[in-house]
Amino acid sequence: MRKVIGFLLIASFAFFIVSLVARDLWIDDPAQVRTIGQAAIGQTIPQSGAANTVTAIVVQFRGLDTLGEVTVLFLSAIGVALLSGEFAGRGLNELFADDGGFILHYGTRLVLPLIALVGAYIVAHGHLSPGGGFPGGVLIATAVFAVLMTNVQQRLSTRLMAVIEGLAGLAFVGLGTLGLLGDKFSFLANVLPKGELGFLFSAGIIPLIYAAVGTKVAAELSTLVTSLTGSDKDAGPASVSAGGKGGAR
Amino acid sequence: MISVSAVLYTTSIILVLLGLYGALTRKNLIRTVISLDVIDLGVNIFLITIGYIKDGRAPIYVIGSGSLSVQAARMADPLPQALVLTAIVIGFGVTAVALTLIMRLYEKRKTVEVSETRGLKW
Amino acid sequence: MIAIVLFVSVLLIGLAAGAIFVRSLGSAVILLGAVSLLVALAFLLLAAPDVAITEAAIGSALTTLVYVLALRRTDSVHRADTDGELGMERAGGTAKGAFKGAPRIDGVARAADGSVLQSGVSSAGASRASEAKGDSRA
Repeated sequence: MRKVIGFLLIASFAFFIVSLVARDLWIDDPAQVRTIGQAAIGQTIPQSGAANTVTAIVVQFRGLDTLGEVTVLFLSAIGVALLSGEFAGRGLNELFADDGGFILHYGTRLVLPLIALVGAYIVAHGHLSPGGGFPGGVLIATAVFAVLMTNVQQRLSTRLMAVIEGLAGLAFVGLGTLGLLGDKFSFLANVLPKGELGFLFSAGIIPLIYAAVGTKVAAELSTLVTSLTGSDKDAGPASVSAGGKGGAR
Repeated sequence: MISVSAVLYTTSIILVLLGLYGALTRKNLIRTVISLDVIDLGVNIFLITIGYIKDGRAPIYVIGSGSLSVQAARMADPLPQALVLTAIVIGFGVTAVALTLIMRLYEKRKTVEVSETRGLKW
Repeated sequence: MIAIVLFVSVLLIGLAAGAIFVRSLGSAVILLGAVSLLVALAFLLLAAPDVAITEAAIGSALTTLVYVLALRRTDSVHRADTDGELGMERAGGTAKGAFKGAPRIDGVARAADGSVLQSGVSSAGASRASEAKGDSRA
């Protein structure tokens, strides 16, 4: 019965979507929907000096949305850390009977700085080649995740991650406030010199903002994975809950 | 010939409908979260296909290869790509919080089947 | 170009249907990781390399890791879904029976029916050790 209702709902939804989209399905060159994109492509080099138009849109033309996105990630990291409070300090020992062996143990530690270097490269060259702050930060957090999953005794201090995250967020907002002091008087305006196209030190505040975003995303996702794998060094009273319950009984 | 946009629009719509059906009818909660993830992927493909032009290039200026205005004429639309960049990251945040909720539910009730928990009747 | 796009699309729909309808949850999570990688490939074909890098890093690396952790904590790695339709069809609803012969990779020695022999020894060594123990007892 449930499946029949599901089918009927899906069929009506499909009919609705297809009737909306069908007249555009055969067009590969929709000139009429490209007006804003056209303007963004044209204005990238005059207004921001970055070679990557997507970066110019994300950081400069719609920079406030990026601040909101970083806030949403921050909220989700807090949510996960709060919800997994009871097992944030209990390590992976109870889950995985095997530590991962010698190769995983030392291999991940060896590979961690290389992956972090690739992540930092992707963050630093966000205005010149595809990438930017978000994939770079995610890459660094993935390296941290790999080390935490294979070394079950490893602990990471979420207090340090919180300090790094806070400082990076402060840097983002501080760079935006610089725009208020310039002559354009708008938050997140590009006030530093734009430089030459294609150089690493160009495009005003865009590399600096992406560096702040990359650091913040890496710290947030490290907090998230630390709470999930139970490798938190600064877990609160929950980490002694096993002993506490036994003592109370 | 069929255009690339038509194929990809159809694929993304089918992915959204598949994910919606899975989210409506599966009893296992982890299966529900997987279906929500599939809906996310379908919507992202749909958004980027809106900005695709025939034989489009990536929206990045390359210094050595030709004049900048010639490059600009063939670029795919960068605006949907900027929006989808945000959407992917936020989709991951939603998945992480949903899975943490399911882990807590398992600790309290020792089950991840919706039919066995009293509050959710489906 | 249209041939590659058609191939990727058909594979995408097939694997996504597999991720939703297959019986074993571990397989479903791995299929979801594969779907994420195919979607990253589709983004590349659509001239969006920024989005492709982000989707590959987040969708196939981080999301799969978080799912595996969730599966492990809810003890669902070898559990068969009660309303999955594809894949293994064991009576009784648990997929543990399918792995009776294969050794479980957790460093604990198990006999053929899953009972624990002794910890810290691999299962090939354990069968030899149990034979030796059986011989010494007999």
